Amino acid sequence: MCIKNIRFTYFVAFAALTLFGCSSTPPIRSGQGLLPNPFASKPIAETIKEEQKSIAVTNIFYKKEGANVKYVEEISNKYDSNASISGISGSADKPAPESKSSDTKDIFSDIQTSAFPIKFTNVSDFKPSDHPTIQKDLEARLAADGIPVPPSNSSTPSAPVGNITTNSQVVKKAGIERQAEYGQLRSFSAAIRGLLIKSGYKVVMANTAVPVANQGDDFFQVVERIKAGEFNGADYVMFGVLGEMSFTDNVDEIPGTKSTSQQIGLDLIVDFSLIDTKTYQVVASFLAEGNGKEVRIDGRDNGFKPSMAKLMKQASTTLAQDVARHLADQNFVTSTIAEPEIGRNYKRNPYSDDASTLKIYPK
Amino acid sequence: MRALNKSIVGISFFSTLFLLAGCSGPQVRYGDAKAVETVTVDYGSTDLQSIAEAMVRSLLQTKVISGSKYAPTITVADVKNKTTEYIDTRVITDKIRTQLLKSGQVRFAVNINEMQSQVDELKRQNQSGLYKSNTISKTGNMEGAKYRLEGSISSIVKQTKDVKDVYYVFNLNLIDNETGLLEWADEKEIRKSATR
Repeated sequence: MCIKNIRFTYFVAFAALTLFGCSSTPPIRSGQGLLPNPFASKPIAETIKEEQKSIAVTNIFYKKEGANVKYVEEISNKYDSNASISGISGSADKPAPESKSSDTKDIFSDIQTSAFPIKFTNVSDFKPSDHPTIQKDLEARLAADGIPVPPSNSSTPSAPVGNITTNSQVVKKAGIERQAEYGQLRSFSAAIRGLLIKSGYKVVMANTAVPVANQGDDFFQVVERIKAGEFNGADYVMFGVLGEMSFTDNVDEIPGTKSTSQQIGLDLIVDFSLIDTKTYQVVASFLAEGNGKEVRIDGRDNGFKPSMAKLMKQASTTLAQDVARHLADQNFVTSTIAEPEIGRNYKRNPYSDDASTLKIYPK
Repeated sequence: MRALNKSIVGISFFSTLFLLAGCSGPQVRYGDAKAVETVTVDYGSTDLQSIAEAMVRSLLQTKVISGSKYAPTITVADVKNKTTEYIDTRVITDKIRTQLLKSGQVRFAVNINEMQSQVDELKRQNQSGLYKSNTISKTGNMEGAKYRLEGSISSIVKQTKDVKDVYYVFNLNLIDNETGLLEWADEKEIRKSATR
């Protein structure tokens, strides 16, 4: 019996030792042997503040694209001259010395005009006859100018003048003129810079990006700009690209009244990225919205003209507030800055201001 | 002779008194505004008071109001009169609104009937150019109501030669303007009978 107990004790001890040996190693504590997690409890924002790292906030980059319908009419003159003038018999194509080589008539110049230099491309891909509305409009305009509508590539021989025969050729060309304008909106970033300064960040000024001739989409290459040193050595760059900007003007009736309200609005959406200039890591990214609104009662009846300055200021302020909300979500600013305390609709005690209520004031 | 004189004087005195009494106006008394009124079976002040009291008590107990940290904003929409009588339903809603406001538990936004004066005031302040800009109540900052109160009052009338029976039912609903959900509803029934 005693032997059995001793055996049992040995067995239990052996089993316990075996199990202990087989047990898994304790988990590695966070931060030991693991890559630092940028989204761990200590946010990058704190690191930036503690290490007094700087942030550059760019103006808002934009690209404006447009397409114009263009109609071009070219008149080229052919001269058939004999030896009495040129001394050379036969015919030769020459531009008239006193006239332009081509007389260009810009019919649709009033549609979506732009001051930005454009390239006239792909003339052949547009035929007015394929677009009945444009064709009709074109014919109406030509008729209004007293120009007969000739068929394309028509050739009109004119009467010989002396011993020179001129042969005018009218060539109609129509096409879609595409244009892209690159630039920066300068009035919407100041409030964002102010917000970051208020949050305790060191903010540096970014250079203004100037588009070059025939600018392409490399205008938005922020990494190239960082490499080119356009952000004055900032550790982080807050880079904003305009997604859409729209201006609205609506009139609606006010129910229950005889009045109408004219609502003029400026709305913009900006795609923001906060980029580490050393590693090019995007540490925060979001889409922010700004809007300015002006409301005028019976404005349309009185010919009201809105103040663009006021709309832009409102849009800028609301954009900064939205940026603050997104940055707070991503632990970059404190929520008190992101959402300033506004007048809350607290329930009130109905007896608090009642003169008949007994009030006891402490000594 | 003396007796005759006395009787003439007495008659003339009483006749003067009667004449004076006949010339005087109706007697005016102040009564208790909350006293039960049973003049006819038609809708009356006691009905108005009992409806308003019941609705306010029920509404203040609802979770939407009692469970909310902030005072929810309400607007009063239409209360339809589906009875055959003329009933000014605005008096009912105004009474309910006053009692709810006194409770401090809710806030009311102007309703559609009050919009014209609200718009006129905003227009006067914002568009006349007469006011200091920092003192103006600016256009575009009105607070939208989260809920609206709407309802109806209906009646069933039955009458015989000797008996008239009227049954009123007042329904009130609290609707969330954003979601369209009916957050609260209650009714108050009143039965009145008159016999000859």
